[in-house]
Amino acid sequence: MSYIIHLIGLTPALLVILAFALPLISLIVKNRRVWEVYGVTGSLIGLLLASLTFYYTYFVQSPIVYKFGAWPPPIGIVYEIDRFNSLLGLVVAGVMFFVALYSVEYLEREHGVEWYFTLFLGMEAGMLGVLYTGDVFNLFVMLEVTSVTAYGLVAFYRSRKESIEAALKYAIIGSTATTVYFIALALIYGSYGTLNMAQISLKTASPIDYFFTILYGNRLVGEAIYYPGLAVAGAAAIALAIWAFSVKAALFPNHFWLPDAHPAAPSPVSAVLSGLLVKVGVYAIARFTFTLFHAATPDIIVSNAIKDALQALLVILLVLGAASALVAGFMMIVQTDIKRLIAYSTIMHIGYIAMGLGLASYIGLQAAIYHAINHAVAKALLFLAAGVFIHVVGTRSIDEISGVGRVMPVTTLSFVIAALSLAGIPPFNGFVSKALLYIGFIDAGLAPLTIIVVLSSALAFMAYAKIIYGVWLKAPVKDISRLRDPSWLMKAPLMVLSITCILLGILSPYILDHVVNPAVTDLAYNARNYIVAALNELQQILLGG
Amino acid sequence: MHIYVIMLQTTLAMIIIALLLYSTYLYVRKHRKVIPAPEKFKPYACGEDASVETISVSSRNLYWAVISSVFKKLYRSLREKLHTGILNDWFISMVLYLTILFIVLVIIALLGVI
Repeated sequence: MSYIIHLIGLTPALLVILAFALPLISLIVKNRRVWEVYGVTGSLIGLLLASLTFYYTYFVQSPIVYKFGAWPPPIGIVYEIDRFNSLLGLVVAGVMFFVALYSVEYLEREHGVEWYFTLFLGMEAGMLGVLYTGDVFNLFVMLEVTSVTAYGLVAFYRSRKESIEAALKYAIIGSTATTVYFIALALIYGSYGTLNMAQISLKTASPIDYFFTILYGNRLVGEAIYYPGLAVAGAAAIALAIWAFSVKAALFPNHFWLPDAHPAAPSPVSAVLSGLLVKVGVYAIARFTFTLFHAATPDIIVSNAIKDALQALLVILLVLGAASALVAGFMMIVQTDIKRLIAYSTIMHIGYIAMGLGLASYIGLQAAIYHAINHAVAKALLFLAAGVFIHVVGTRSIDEISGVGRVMPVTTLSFVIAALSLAGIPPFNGFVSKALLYIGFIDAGLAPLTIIVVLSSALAFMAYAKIIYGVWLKAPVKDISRLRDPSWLMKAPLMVLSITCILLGILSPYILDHVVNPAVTDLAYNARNYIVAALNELQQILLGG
Repeated sequence: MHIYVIMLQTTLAMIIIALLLYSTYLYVRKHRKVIPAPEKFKPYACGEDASVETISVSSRNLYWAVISSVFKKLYRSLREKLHTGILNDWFISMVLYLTILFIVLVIIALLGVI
C-alpha cells in the first residue's frame, strides 16, 4: 500500500505541477476548451486523491505520514494526515471540483481563462498543502501559495478599479499576517528547537502521560519543556500565530479585507474564498490550539504557563467569535450588493466556528468541525447561485436583480436552500451544527451565548429574506423575458451542492458518529497517535529500519 | 436529547406553523368580502404616470430601515469608524487586537512561571 501513501503525499505537489504546466501548454495549444478541460481534470484528480486519502485515513490507517525525499521527521518535511485534515481535504477538493465545472460557463465571455485555471489549481494545491502538512514552516509556505493565488484571482477582472484595489488591500493585509506568522515560527524554533508539528506536540505534553518519550529517551526526538522562559516564548508564539491565522480566517477584528475582496472576485472565486479559503485559517487555529498545544486536554500540558495562556486564548476566541457574529449580522442587513451581503455572512459563520473552538469541549469541537463543513458547502452554493443571477443580469445590486428568480427556478431553489441552511432552519445542515453549538454553550454554563447566535441568525435570516423577496416576489426592473436557468454545466454543481446541504442535515446522526466524531478525536484527544506516527519514522531510521 | 430528535421536532414545528399560517392566509383570501378594484393596485404619483418597477421600494429602505434607525449609533461606529474601506483604519483595529492578544498571553504565561 506504500504507493498509495506516495500518491497521497504528492497530491499538492501534483496540483502545483499541473498549475505551472498550464501557461506553457497555453503557448502551444491556443484553444480555450483545452484549457478548461485541463483545469476541470486537474481539480478532478485533486478530488480523487483527496477521496483516496479520506478512505485510507478512515478505513485503513490513521494518521498517514509521508516523508518528503524520504527524510524522517523532524529532520525532513512530512505530511501527516489524520481523520481531521483528510475530512477537510475532501471537502476542499470536492467543492473545488464543482466550482471548476461551474467556472467554465461563468467565464465564457472572459479572457485569461488559462491564467484563471493556473491560479485555481495553485490555490487548491496551497489549501491541500496547508491541511496535509505536518510541519509548521511548510504550513507557512503553503499558506503563501494559497494567499498569492488568491490575490491573483481577486484581481482577475484586472480592468476594474474595484478588483485591483481589493486585491492590493487583501495582499497587504495577507502578507502582514504571514510575516507575523513567520515571527511566530522563529519563536517556536528558538524555544522548541523543531518545526515538526508532532514534535512540538510532544514537547508541550507531560512525559508522564507520554511515556514513549522515555522509551525513545533522546533529546533529538524530544522531551517535555520545563524551562520557564521557553514557556513564555511559546505563549508569545501562540499569540502571534493565532493572530495571523485569524486574518486568514477573517475573524473579527481581522476581517476587514473580506467584504472588499470577495465581491470583487468572479463569483466562482468568491465561492472558493468564502467557502474554503477562510477554513484554512480555521484549520490552522484548531491544529495549533488543540493538537500542538493540547487546549482540550490541559491535564497533559507540562507547563502551567502555557496552560494558563491557552485558557485565556480560548476565552478570547469565544469573545471574538461572538463579536464577529454580531457585527457581521448587523452589517449584513444594510447591504445592497448581493455578494457583499454574503461576504459578511462568512464573517458571521467564522464567528460561530471560533465560538465552538473556544468552548474546547467535545461537543464544541463537534459543532465547530461540522459547521465548518456545512458552511463550506452552503456558502459555496450561495455564491454560485448568486453568481448565476449576476451572470445573467450583469449587476450585483439586489434591487436590479429583482424578479429574475421567477424565470430561473433551479437557481432560485438552490439559493433558498443555501440561505435557509446558513440561517439555521431545520432540516438543513446549518441547523444541526448550530443546535450542537447551543448544546455546547448550555453544557459549558454559557447559555447567554446562545442569545448571540440566535440574534445574529435572525439578522442573517432577514438579510437573506431581502434577497429572496427581491428575486422572487418583487417586480422585475429589467426585461427578464429572455432569461432562463443556465446550462447543465452551471446547474449541475448547484443541484449537487443543494442535495449535499439536505443530506448533511438529514443524515447528520450518521455523519456525526462516523465522520465528524473521529475527526474531533484525532484533532484534540488523540495527540499520542499523531506523535507516535511521525516519530516512529525516526525510530525506524535510528534502529536501522 | 439526541440531535436527530431535536431536528425532527423543530422541523415538524416549523412545518406545522407554516401550514397554519398559509391555510389562514388562503382562508382569509377566499372569504374576503371586499374585492378591490384593479385601480387600487395602480401606483398613485400625484397624477404622474409611474410604473410599478420605477417606484418599487429599494431593498435599502425595506423593513430593516427600522433596525438601522434604532441602531443608528452602532451603525455610525461600524461604518464610519471600523468599515471605512481605508487600510490605515483597519490596521488600527488589527494591531490593537494583536497587541492585546500578545500582552495578555505573555503576561499570563509570565504569571504562571513566577
